[in-house]
Amino acid sequence: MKIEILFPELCSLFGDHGNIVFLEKTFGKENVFKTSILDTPKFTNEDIDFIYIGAMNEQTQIQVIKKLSPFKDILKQKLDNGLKALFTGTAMDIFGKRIIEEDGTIISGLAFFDFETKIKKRPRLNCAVYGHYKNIPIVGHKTQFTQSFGDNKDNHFAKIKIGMGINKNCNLEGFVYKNLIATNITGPLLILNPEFSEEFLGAKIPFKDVLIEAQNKRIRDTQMGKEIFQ
Amino acid sequence: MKPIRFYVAMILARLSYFMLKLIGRNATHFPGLVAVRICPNILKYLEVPNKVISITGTNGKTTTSNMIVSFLEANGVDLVANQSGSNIEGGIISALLTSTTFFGKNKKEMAVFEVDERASVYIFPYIKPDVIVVTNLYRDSYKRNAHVDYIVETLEKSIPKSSLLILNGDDTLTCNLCRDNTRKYFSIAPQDFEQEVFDSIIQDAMYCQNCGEKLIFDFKRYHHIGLAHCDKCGYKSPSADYLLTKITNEQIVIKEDNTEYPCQNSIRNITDNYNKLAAISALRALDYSFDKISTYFSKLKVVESRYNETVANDKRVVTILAKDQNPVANSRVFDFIRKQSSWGSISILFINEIHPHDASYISCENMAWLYDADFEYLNLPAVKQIFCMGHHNLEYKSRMLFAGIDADKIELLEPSNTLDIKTSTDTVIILHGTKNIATANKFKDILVGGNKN
Repeated sequence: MKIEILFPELCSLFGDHGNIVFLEKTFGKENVFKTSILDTPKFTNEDIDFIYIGAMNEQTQIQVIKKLSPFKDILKQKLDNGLKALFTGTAMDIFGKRIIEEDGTIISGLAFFDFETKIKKRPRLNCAVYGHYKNIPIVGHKTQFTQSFGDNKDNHFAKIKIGMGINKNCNLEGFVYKNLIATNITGPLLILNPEFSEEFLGAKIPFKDVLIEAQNKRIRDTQMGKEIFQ
Repeated sequence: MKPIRFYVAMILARLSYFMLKLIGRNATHFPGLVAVRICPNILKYLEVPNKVISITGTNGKTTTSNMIVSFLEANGVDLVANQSGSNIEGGIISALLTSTTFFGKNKKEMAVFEVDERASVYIFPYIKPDVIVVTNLYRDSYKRNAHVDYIVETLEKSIPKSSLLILNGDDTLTCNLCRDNTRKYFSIAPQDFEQEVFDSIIQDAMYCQNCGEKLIFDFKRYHHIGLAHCDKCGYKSPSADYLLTKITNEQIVIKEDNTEYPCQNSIRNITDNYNKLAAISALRALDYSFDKISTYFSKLKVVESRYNETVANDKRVVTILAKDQNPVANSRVFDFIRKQSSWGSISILFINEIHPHDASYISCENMAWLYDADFEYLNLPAVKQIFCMGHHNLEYKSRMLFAGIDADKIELLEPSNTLDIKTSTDTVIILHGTKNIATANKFKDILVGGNKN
């Protein structure tokens, strides 16, 4: 498995660095390539099996959209040909149609999915999340200024039991297109959800027993906890 | 003219203050909260002293504020401060309730307020500090502070144009704040004993704020702290107005306008010296002489709630405030631990969670910050045992495993207010958060007591 991490120096907020650490431990550092925002993404001219982008701030979202726009068609084509991709945290937002800032400014997204994201900076939205991807449990956290709006009935990533989906009135989280998963869930997603990681990545994962025990504890706490929205 | 609700707020807030005092409580936040609920813009009507100093930033603001307050009080200044209270709106208002008359008239000579950087937007525009010290800016609690750009944006909006800024010149984010304001920079020159730290996980300022090119660090202290320049646009870290040129076990030397001023010193830790330098720089900006400052700071010790070291029967027991939800504070502590070559074999007890260790409490705390903290620094032969106590002990263990720490070294403990561990190491370190200082002290006493027996 040849993995490309896009812009990790800017896109690893809210603990998403953990997803990168997880990928390095699972597949070996020698198979994980990090591309900076100043460089051309490797997937454009090399065979890459998996792309990861983590959470970023609002300014970086604009930068990343600008950076990836010229390669949008190549990315789409590679996804159609089986490329796996995972976009977590605020990385999800850039793959929608638009991001609308508080002052009404509209930033056009990469439009892989039919949704829009609205930014509202105060109060900040934080919540614990528990739900399922297929029949696999998913836990994590949302920590963001945004809510997204659009129909993800047929292409959501997870059905949420506790917490929220793409917005406070929706229990469907994230978007899926073929082997691409885009979700606002942080945690880090791959570490907090060992069964999902194993299934999605198709690989034996490290420290599985401890990670499953930790996830079971978190599921119990999330089900019993009073502070889901924090 | 003040609105009626201002007077209603004053009556009820002061009443709550006296009631809380009557039952022996601190009254450092609640009365302000009552006041602001009744009169949301009450800060507009409360008179502040003629001179207002504020200290903000991610880390070190409490220590820096305490040093400034303590110096000023020792020099006879009649001041109001939120020293033992909260640093958000409620705390500032509660403090001002004690420094004003019923009609909101000021009674004090000076105010020193530690202000939470996120809450600054509700405070600075009203109290208009004459001097604002910014210690540093880092990634902090995801829940409250989001990311550091949000905090920079908040400070840019809230800092009045009239404020003199005392900025950390070694922090690329801090030193570029509010470029139109009058400013003074403080900086610590690279020291002989320092090793540059290139491997910090968090690097919040890699690119030039002027042109977006990658910054080149001529000296990298840790994270984004150091001396940087940009080859493309010519940007470089600012020259310091207050430059700490030398740190030894006996003294520090501060250079200002080409004159060097020595000051007795007992700490070599860079973080503590940044706080000290920030405080000294603020006091210099207030025109206190180096002689006066030096005399006072010679006697200064680090506040014990943040660092305490006890040696009993050849065993060292150390408590350190590593904080919770704050990866940089933890990384700095881990870096400090890895550099203690004289501490022998080490055990570490983690109790730094945001929630109390009450058995009935269920916590869904976001622990993702663990992956931004440099646990890799603790993957050392000298570290023999690591105890993880708390609601999220399994998540601590997961993080440590990914940091390469041997599973055999890690022991999990359920949340508890008592401690029953066996350690055979030369040093035991308790890392705690702000909410469990008392528990840490209790555990320290148990460990020290055990050693004495």
